[in-house]
Amino acid sequence: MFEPVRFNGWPELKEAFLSDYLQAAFILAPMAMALREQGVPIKIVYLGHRDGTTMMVHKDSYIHRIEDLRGKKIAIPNRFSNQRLIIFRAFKQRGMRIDDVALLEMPPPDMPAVLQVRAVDAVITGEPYSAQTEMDGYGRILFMTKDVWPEFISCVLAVHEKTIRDNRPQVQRLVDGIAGSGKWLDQRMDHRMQAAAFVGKNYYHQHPALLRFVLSKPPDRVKYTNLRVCRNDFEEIEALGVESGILKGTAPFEDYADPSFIEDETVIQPYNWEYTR
Amino acid sequence: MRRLVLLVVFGWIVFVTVLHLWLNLHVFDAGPRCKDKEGSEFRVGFLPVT
Repeated sequence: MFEPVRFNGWPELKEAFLSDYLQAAFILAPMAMALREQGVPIKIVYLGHRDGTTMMVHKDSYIHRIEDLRGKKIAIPNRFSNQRLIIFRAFKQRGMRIDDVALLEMPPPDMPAVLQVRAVDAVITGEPYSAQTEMDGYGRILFMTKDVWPEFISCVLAVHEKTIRDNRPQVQRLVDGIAGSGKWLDQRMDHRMQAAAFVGKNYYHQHPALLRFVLSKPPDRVKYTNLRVCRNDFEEIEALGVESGILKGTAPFEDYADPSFIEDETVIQPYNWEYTR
Repeated sequence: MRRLVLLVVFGWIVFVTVLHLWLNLHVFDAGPRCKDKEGSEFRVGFLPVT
């Protein structure tokens, strides 16, 4: 029914989405909004998760506060990412500027290695790459987004408008599936541990121990409920995006978002399913 | 010598082309592609991040 297609970098995923090879994609929220501003007919229909991003520094570094990042190099997944916006937001709150640091864009899978060799001073990306540096013993958490920007949004589910127009039932099935899966994941910790096993093996090709770490330490490191597309969340992202120069603010919420697929999240039931090896 | 070089270059081009057709375009895949009931493919792209 649905074919998940894995990518290792945001530019490649974006190009595959723009070329219609992908009918839908989990994509960075500001990237989806920027594409819509550029006239690409896509809609954000659901979120991928909340929180689940961490800024890591080398354990031997002298960086212990956000203010200590001044003059340092930070790896981010993409300039059109909420990871860049959270740096902008945190700096603004502390009287700092985004150009007080050097930002380097790189694929998330490359970030643990560059932090280990201290080619950069900090990395910020979605899990599990931040947790990988922690598990491997050379990374130290500077902050988790849940503590700096609660209910942080990173990835969203974007769908081509023509797919919504021509195949709405399939899109609805996809969103319902994600919503039910999210409720199942957040229902009990053993569901998260089961997910770590089969997702690590069949989809992410990452060690299940790493995913177990991400999904449990702490338990609210990443969340998979409350994923409905809400105007307030995106207008905050848009305001920061405009202020930091990555968005123009020319596309209103109704242009880039379609929250109609899940009107009321409370009616979504978690899947009744257990993983058997 | 020139013939050998041309042979190697030609062989390399054929090899890379076949590899691309196989790995990226799935031309030689035996099983059916993932299709929905209407017969169209529905691919969802993702990065392995939270």
